[in-house]
Amino acid sequence: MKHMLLAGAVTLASTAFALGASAQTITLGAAVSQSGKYSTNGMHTINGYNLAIELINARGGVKVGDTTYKLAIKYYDDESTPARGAELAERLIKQDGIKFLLGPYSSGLTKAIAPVTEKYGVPMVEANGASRSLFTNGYKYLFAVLSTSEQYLSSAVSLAAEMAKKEGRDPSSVRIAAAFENDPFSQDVRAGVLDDAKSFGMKVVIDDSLPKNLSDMTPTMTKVKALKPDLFVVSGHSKGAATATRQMAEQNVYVPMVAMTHCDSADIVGKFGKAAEGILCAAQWAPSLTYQDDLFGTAADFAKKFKEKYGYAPPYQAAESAAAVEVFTKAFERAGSLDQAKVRDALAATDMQTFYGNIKFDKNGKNIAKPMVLYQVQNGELVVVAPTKWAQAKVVFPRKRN
Amino acid sequence: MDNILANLQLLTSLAPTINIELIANGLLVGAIFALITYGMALVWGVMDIINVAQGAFVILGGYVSFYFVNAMFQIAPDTPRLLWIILSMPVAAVAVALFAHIVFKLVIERILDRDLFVALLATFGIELVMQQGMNQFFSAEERIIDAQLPTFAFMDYMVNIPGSRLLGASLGIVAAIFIVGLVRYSRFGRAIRATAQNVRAARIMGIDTNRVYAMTFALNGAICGIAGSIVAFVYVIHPFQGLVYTLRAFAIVILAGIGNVVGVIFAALGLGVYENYSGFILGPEFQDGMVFIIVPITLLVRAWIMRRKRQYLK
Repeated sequence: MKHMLLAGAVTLASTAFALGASAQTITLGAAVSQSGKYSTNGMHTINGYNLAIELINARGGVKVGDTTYKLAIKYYDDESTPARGAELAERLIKQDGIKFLLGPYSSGLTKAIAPVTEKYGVPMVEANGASRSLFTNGYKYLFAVLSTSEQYLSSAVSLAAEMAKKEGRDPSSVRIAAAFENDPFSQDVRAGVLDDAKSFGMKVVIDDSLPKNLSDMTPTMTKVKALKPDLFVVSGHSKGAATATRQMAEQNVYVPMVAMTHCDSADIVGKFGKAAEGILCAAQWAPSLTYQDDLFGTAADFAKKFKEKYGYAPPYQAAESAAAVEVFTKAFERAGSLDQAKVRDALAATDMQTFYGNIKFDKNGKNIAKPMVLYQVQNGELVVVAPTKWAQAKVVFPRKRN
Repeated sequence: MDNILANLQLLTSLAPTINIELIANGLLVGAIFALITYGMALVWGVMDIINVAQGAFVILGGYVSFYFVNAMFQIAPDTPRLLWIILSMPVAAVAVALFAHIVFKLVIERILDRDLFVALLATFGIELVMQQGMNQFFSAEERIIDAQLPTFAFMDYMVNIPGSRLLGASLGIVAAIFIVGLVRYSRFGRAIRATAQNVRAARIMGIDTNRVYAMTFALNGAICGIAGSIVAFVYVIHPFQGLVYTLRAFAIVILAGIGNVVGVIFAALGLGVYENYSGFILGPEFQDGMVFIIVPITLLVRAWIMRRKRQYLK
């Protein structure tokens, strides 16, 4: 009896403590890869989230109605496996009582978690799932701050068309070689490229799909060499970018325009130096863009703050993650309540500028206000060359022969 | 389908010279596979253990080599790059051999007398731990060593042989000759072969078979270390990339038959060429699949031949 009383008292006390704590803090939940193949990018994601939280709390927190809350995040490690991600989302919601979720890293993980948050009516703002298949299921509680994946390299296709016109050729004469990894993200990028190629009437002469554990692209390179296309597009995460850059140089493959995804996270400039010269890289964000907001300041300010804290320049994965937290806090403030449905509606009505770009969601929750940018490696630096509005330099075309 | 036909057309009529490039590159890749496979076949033949962690050992060798070469550049930036790359091979060999010995003492020694299934599970477990360990220690970032070697071009740039691959293949061949010589002519090699032939007889003759096992496993580690440094400057090093090499090595051993050294070399070279062709014709995503389809086909053919001779597969 005595024991039961004691146990009861402890339970009561701990409940009171939990209530007391949650009255002051909004705890967001996130399952992010800290181990497994996405752990590097998972770390960028976490650093982005944490920097945003730190700045918001340093400014006093979030004002919801009449109460001011601090922010906190409860993390779990999804081990880079979708099944584990879904399980952890369920645990965050059911067991830990988390009412708002931030996204994981990668489209695959987001795809696994979205049905869970949808089922429980938990709003999720995600920053690292770009696959367009995420936005065709009519999810109501999913919001993505980044540009979707089919937009990644389509700007390269239009750039190729522009260059063809400049040379006095018809854009439909452009021949494209494509090599895309066989995963949801890269296949979306491919779909975007094919759509745009079709609208220009361009011909896709090579359409190879790369395996997940890619180690060698020689056969594709041989084909490219034989067919001499005008544009070569590659997407296969950082491994694809590194392998393509190395083997293009090694096999003496020359294509006047080469565009890739992930060449910044693969650090092709640092790894290969001259061999990377002239390659175009798709990116969600660049520190040289002129967007700004009142929390981080300009894109360059964010880059500076990030570098001070973590000791490395922020890749776009970190920037978009920080932007996701910012979008959440603004929605809390506008909703004036922590009711999940109200916050959801406030999120849906988002229309703001952040240091990361403009953010406005369509009815499927994807951001339609921000274009992708295209970098080019020029003299060992990544400089923005498209879209023209933010271009730091003119695109070098055709690419120089090594 | 159209794609495949177009690729075939390219090979046969439009640009026949690229056949030469496919074959040459295939042979060079095959030489690296041969080295890795030789280590796997050694452990398999002597200890009756299929080392699933083979690829992880290779990757570990790659990391050792990567950090060694980078450190040497920092200390002595003006020295020739090639020197450190070649020197990194013995360094990686010793490091991975030591690591393999630790693994032997911790795990392998305890499962020597158990059946093949236990060994498979154990080495699979080692592989998982190694992958995640390397991921924690070295991060999931892709690593490469840039050998900065020229590419040799022939026939109006249609046939290109990268210097790094040429170097990798030749160093691989040198290492393989050295190891084959060691097993064939040294006292230690004799002990290995005796143990492989008949453990009980070897013990009666005074061979410390446990020590032979330990040495064999360490030797395999050394082989993987060397292969890893080659992989680092020819391809890409990544904690989860090892499986590619394990599975290739497995397919080659099956193709060549256990205990057939010459067979391993030819099977590896053949596989390299075959893989390049299937990648070219069907697309790179089928490259792996086409490699593994060889395993059941070989086993079926072998079983069929044996049945005709009224033998059976042990």
